Parts: sequence; C-alpha cells; structure tokens
Amino acid sequence: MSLLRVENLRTYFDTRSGVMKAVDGVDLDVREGKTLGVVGESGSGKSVTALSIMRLIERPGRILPGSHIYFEGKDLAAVSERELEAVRGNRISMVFQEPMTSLNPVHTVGNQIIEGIRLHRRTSARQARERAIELLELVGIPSPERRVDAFPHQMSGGMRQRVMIAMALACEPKLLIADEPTTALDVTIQAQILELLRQLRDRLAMAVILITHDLGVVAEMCDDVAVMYAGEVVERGSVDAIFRSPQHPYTEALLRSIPLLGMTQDEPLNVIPGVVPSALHWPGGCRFAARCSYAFQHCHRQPPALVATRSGFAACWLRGNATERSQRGAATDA
Amino acid sequence: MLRYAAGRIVLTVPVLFGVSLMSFAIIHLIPGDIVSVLAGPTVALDSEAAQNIRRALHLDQPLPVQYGIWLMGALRGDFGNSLVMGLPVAPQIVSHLPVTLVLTAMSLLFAIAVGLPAGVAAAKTRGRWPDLFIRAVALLGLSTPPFFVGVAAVLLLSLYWPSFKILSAVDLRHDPLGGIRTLLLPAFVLSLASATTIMRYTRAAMLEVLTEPFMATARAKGAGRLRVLIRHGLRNALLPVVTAVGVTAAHLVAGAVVVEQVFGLPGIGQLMLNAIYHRDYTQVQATVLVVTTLVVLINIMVDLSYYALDPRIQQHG
Repeated sequence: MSLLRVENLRTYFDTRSGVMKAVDGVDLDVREGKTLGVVGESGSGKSVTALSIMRLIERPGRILPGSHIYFEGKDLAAVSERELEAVRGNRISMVFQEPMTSLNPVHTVGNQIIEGIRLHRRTSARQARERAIELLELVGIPSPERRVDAFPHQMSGGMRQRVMIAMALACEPKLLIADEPTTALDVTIQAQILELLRQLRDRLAMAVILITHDLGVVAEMCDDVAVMYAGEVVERGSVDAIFRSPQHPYTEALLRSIPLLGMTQDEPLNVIPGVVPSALHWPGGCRFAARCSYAFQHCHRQPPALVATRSGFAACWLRGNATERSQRGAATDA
Repeated sequence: MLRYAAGRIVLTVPVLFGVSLMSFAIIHLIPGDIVSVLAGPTVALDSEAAQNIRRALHLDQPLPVQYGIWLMGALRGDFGNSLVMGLPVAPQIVSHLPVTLVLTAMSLLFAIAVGLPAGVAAAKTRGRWPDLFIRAVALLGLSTPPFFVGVAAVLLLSLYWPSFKILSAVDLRHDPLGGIRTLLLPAFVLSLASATTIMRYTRAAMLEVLTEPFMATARAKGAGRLRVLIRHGLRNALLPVVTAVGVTAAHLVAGAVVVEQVFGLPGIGQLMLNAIYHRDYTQVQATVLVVTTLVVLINIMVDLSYYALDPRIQQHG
C-alpha cells in the first residue's frame, strides 16, 4: 500500500543562463510505514525532489504541469496553497540538512515547536507548551522543561537537529522527509541521530524518505531505495535486492566506490570517473553514458526508460535491450 | 537586562560631557565679541559699560571657570539669560521643545509606517515591477530636499486647496489634536528621506533573511506566506533596520530645523536659528545642548531595543 506516489515530477529553475532541469521526470513510491532511501551524488536532484514533494520550491523554480504527487488521495501538485499549508508540518514534515541555520535565531526552541503545533491543532498555549516539552523529551533532550526556553544559539548542532526532529514530529506526521539530516554533524552524533530516527519511525509508525549520499546509511535504515542521477531515478527497488544485485551500472559503481574497513592505503579507491553533467544541458541519450564503462553507441542516442528488472526497476539499455532482445530472439526462434 | 541598560546609560555620561563641552566651545570659536554685540558698536571695549557686561557674564574669568559655571547652571536647568531678550533661556526651550518633539516623532512614525512595509514588499518582489516601482519612488524621495518639497507643498496646496490650513498656529498644550493636524503635512515632508532610508535598509536585510534556511523550515511547518514573512523574516531583519531608525532619527532632528522654518512652526529649530541670527550666545548654547542630548537619548533607546530584539545579545550582555 503506497502512501506517497510521485509520478513524472519535473522541477525546473529559470536562470539567466537557461533552464536548469534539476529534477526531470522522477517517479517514487513510498510504502506506508516504510523507509525509502534516496541516494545520489551532489547535484543529482535529491534535495529539490524533497522540496518539490512539499511544494516548497520558490522562484525562480517551478514544478511543471504533468507532475503528480499523490498523497492520501490528493495530488499535492494540483491542490491550493491553503490546502498544502494544512498538509505541511501536519501530515508531511521535513527535517533539513543544516541544523545550525534551520532554526530561527530570535525565537526560543519551545516557541518554534509550539508554533508548529498550534498551526494545526486547536490547543491552548499551555497545552502546546506541555506537548513541546514532551516532544523534546521524546527526542532525547535532557531536562526538557528547562531547554524549552533556550534559544538555538545555546545548543549544539546535534541538539538542534533533535529540536528540528521534535518540531517535525509535533503533529505526528504520516511521512517524514529527512534531507541529509546528519551531513553537518560529527560522526558520533550522526549515529545517534540516525538511531533516534529509526526508533521514532518504529514507535510512531510513520513512513520516512531519507535523503543521503551514504549507501551505508541506506543499508542500515531503509526498506526501499531510489538511486538518482542527473535529475532522474536510474534505479529503484528494495534495498535487499538492489544491494545484492544492482541492475544499473551507476548503482553498481556507487556500491563499488564505498571504502571498506581494513583497506590499506595501497589499494586504490574505486571512483567513478568524470562529473555529473550540468543541469543546464543534460546529454541527449542516457545521462550516465559518458561515465559508464559499459556504454555502447545506442546509449548516447536515446534515453532509456525505467523498466522492470530482477531487483526492481532500472533505466539502462543493457537491461531494456536484454529483455527486448530476448523477446525478439524468442520470436525469430519460433 | 538591568545590567545591560545600566552599562549603556553609564556609557552616555562621557558622551554627554563631551557634548556639553562642544556646545560651550563652539560659541567661543565663532569670531566676534559678545560684548560689542551687546553694548553696540559705538561703545569702546575697554569702557566701564563693557567691563560691567563682562563681569556680569563672567567673561572676565578664564575659560574653564566659565565652562564650570555654565555647566553647573545647566545641570540645575538654568541656562542663563537670553542676551537679546534678557529673559531666562530655559522656559523658552521648554515652550518650543514640544513642537519639535511631536514633529520628529510623527515623522519617524510615518517613515517607519511607510518604509518598513515598502522594504519588505520590495525584497519579496525583487527584480519585478513592485520592487522597481518602490525603488524609483524611494530614489526620488531621497534626492528631493525637504525644503523644496515643503515649499512646493505649501505653494500647491494654497493654490489648489485653499481650505487646507497649512500655516496655522500650533498650540499643543491647549489644542493637541488641532496641533497634530497642523503638523501632519510638515511631518510628512520631513519623513520622506527617512522613509527612504528605512525602506532601503529593510529591503537589504530582508533579501538576506529570505534565503535563510529557517525560512524554509517555517514554510515546512505549514505557516502561511505572510506569517513566515513577518514573524520569521522581518523579525530577524529588524536589527539593521533599528540601527537605521536611530541614524535617521538624528537626521530628523536636524531636518526639523529646516521644516520648521518653511512651515513657520514655533519649534526648537526656529528658536536656534533666531538665536544664531541675533548672536544670542546663551540661547544657542542651550538649544545645541538640548538637541544633541536628544539625539544621544534616541541612540540609547536604539541600543536598548537591540537587547529586546536579539537574544544573542542577552547572553553576552
């Protein structure tokens, strides 16, 4: 049963040097109570996808008509701003990358959580405050009765990220979008925050979209995974299947590039040569072709579509062609 | 809070001391002898009459002693007698001060009421027509001097709207509402440049705040656009704007001198100008001291409002 289904999401930015196609036809599927990991390099469109789901794209960005974001029976791409405001922070919440700057410096953390509660629930100021203290306790902040009146600058990065999570959980959302929630934190704190997210997810039975560039985190935390490259999903499916047998060369290369514990300095790290192409001029065929070690002529000419594979879906001519060829082969044989 | 406020107020003591020293010294730097003005050009400077005047005004004492005598008097509210009228200066100031205070306060209010929303709107619509329009009007407001706008307003209104009383007497004590009505136009004219300054500071500060991640956080919470703009955006942008308000308040006091002259208002600016024309030194000293003290006080208030606005100051005091 899917909670959120994104179809053909396209988010473009009109810049002086042209139209930047940051997200260009993304399909995603988040199952109720499950965690979807979205992985990809910087500039692959992960964060823009997340912001687009909540329609938080500001000028000069725009979500193109024909994009669909189905959530609880509504197409969020088509509803009014007012309806969206009722969904944001209530049914879908978001935790951002930068805890240092994502909290408002002039309001106490308590008031920022209370605002989130009172925007969606009819409660008295005192009830909301008690709920805020409860939430701070839930995310593991010591002496929450005291911390509720603290300002963000009086807290460490890890504490602030906990506050952000408390704020996101204020109205017990069905879906939590966490956009690289640990990137800006120390390694030990990273593990704590991820563990916290995992506990809360299980306790509150919410679905999570976890955006990360860390495949290790995906393996630990997620049920499903979508691999993004150059504004597109190139492969998606269950974590188990895709980690066992990646169907897209990009996924395969990503998995190979993870440094392993026990590697010596003599062993070269596996890197993917080249860089992500510019969102202003995506290449014509498969966007990964220029960096792909399996690329053949056809890859540069025509973009592959997502097709069903053994592990889920992948957009690669090796897979698409394989099925086509075998079908054709079967036909000539007959 | 008290410690912060006390610290700020203690800091103003040396400033005010310096101000008093300047107001005293300026007069003695101006060429010309007070005695010759008072006694008239026909009286010899070493005559008996001239000596008497000198003694009466303590001008025969060394400068530091003169300053001491003057300062002690000023601290008690006694600024001496007007050299021209022969009457005490202090009551004159007391009767002229309210007009200037109300005029500046009204102008400041206008400037904030216009400049703040205009700045927010301009930042929010950056590069599109509302922004361009606001900035064009602001440029016009900034580059047109108040004496010109004032004179033009007086002329145009008396030509085309004669029933609009421009130059009526202001008596704030007995007819406060009428007085405020008369001050509306002068206050508006005076506020133009300040409104522009406040608009520009607000716009710049808002442009910076609008890109802050916490603005996205607020939107993600489900807060409406206006709420995000005001409660999260403007609230953060206010600090530099308050600084601008402090600076413009000082300009307003200075601009009041001109505007009072144009509209014939019995304010402290007029008092000061008249005193300067007549070489009424005691009067000039006293008005300069009062006006500068006013500006210092405004700046204390700005400092104190930082404390209220920015929690980060509260911690580091």
